[in-house]
Amino acid sequence: MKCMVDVDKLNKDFFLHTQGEAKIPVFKDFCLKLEQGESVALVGPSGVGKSTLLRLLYGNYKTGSGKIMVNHDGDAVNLAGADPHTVLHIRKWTIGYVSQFLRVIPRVPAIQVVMEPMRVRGASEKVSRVLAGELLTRLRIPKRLWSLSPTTFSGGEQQRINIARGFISTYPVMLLDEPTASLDSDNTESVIEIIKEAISMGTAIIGIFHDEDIRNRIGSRSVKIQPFNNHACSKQLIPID
Amino acid sequence: MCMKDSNHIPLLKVKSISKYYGRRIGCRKIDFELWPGEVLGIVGESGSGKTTLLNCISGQMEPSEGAVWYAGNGGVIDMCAAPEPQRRLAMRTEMGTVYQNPRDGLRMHISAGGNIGERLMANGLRHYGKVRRKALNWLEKVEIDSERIDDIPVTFSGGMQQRLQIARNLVTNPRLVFMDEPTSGLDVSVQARLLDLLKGLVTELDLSMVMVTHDLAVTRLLAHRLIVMKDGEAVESGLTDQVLDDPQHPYTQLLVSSILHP
Ligand SMILES: Nc1ncnc2c1ncn2[C@@H]1O[C@H](COP(=O)(O)OP(=O)(O)OP(=O)(O)O)[C@@H](O)[C@H]1O
Ligand SMILES: Nc1ncnc2c1ncn2[C@@H]1O[C@H](COP(=O)(O)OP(=O)(O)OP(=O)(O)O)[C@@H](O)[C@H]1O
Ligand SMILES: [Mg+2]
Ligand SMILES: [Mg+2]
Repeated sequence: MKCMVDVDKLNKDFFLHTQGEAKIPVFKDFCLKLEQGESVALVGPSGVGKSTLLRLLYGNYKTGSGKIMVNHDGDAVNLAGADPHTVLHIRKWTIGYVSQFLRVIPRVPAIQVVMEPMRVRGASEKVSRVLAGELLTRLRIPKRLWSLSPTTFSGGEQQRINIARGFISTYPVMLLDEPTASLDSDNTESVIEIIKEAISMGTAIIGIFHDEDIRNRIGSRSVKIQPFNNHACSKQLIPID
Repeated sequence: MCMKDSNHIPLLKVKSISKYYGRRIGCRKIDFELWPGEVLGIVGESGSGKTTLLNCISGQMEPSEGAVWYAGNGGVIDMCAAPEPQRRLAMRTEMGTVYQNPRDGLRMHISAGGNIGERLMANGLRHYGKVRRKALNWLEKVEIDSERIDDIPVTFSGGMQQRLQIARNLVTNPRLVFMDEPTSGLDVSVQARLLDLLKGLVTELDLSMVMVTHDLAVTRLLAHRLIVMKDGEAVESGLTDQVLDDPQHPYTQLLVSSILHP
């Protein structure tokens, strides 16, 4: 099996310089390997660092020390400390991310928001539009909303736009932060289907899914993140089952 | 899928640029690279050296130290040391500058069409009909009514003047555009439209842009990368979302925390 992501001795602390120099340690010597077509579910109590890990893997947060080796088109690239140009290239082709909340761009229609990742890869307007339409239909977004900016959409609608945007292109690695949190059961089913299709095509997934049933249906290996405290030596991986 | 993008070298390499005004520091030891299709935002408080830096890298001011390598159509040149004619040619044909004050970037007493056509003609296009057609086409792109083509900019609103400045700069298909606070004098809805327009043009034309702004929300929308300046120095730089979501330097943290939703 091809190793897609190899996190080695990752350390991350937040320093709040404007709040009395507070230090929030989140990861110490954290390790994780992800293989092609594999699905890993991060579990652990609120505030333990699940979302932080996804953001570190996307280059959205800055790694303190340690390595995040990513298989980028056959090359092993260390995302931690990579220059912005390289990170953007990895995001364009190798790592997709569905954040917990859509960051809405004012005035841009929903369908354009969904099409964008294909457009930046150079796909034509026409092809991107057709694929975006298919996904939006699958996710039950009424056609009359497609041309509107998601600014005024409901939480669940925004989340589905976010998911469509995440899955319109195929990525070897996908990061999913509670993609079904604000969805009803029909839409949750559609999302699970979409995720499973991606996995069957070889995408490796690291996700946060609060619902155990969903984790099982996606076939995830659960990885528990231990709360950090200064007495315990280091945060470890404890495989469940 | 094809991961190999055509652009293999940076368009602009800025190496340790410093500018001193006598004993006062304008900017100090600034380094960065700008790749084709990338937008770089420069943020920081008033007097931190943003305009100084922009002027040094755009060939409008001579830095005290450092080099600016530009990989243009005519090969790589050092913008600070290349012979004047070579530098002027690159600036005229491949670069554009949009000023904060439209009066600095427009000729206020020649027509809108004339403003757009001027650079085309300076670059050798002589056919009047063609120049006019291109001007009309660009007025449409920047959402200015084509009927205004013969009006002079003093009769335009601030937002229209800014859009005309953009058209005047982009008509010759530059590869690199410098902007100093292009939206700061405009009200919020006009600003949003202008940003939309810029975002579209950057993608459509594969433009690279260096943009000075004090508005972090603007950089979130437009810039791939950010440089945060304070007292003439770059205190932090990196991917826009990383700098805004996980700022490292105390000054950046202060900047980010002082606004609602960057
Ligand atoms: N940008 C940031 N700046 C400072 N601290 C942060 C930042 N992001 C996260 N943290 C801190 O890091 C810790 C982990 O947060 P994170 O959001 O990763 O938790 P989580 O496991 O996803 O929790 P939940 O299940 O509630 O979503 C928290 O203490 C949080 O306050
Ligand atoms: N021509 C000049 N002669 C002397 N000092 C100058 C000159 N131009 C700028 N300075 C000084 O250099 C420093 C940087 O100025 P600069 O105009 O680059 O700041 P800025 O970041 O663009 O500020 P603002 O946001 O107010 O436009 C300031 O201290 C300024 O007073
Ligand atoms: Mg979370
Ligand atoms: Mg200035």
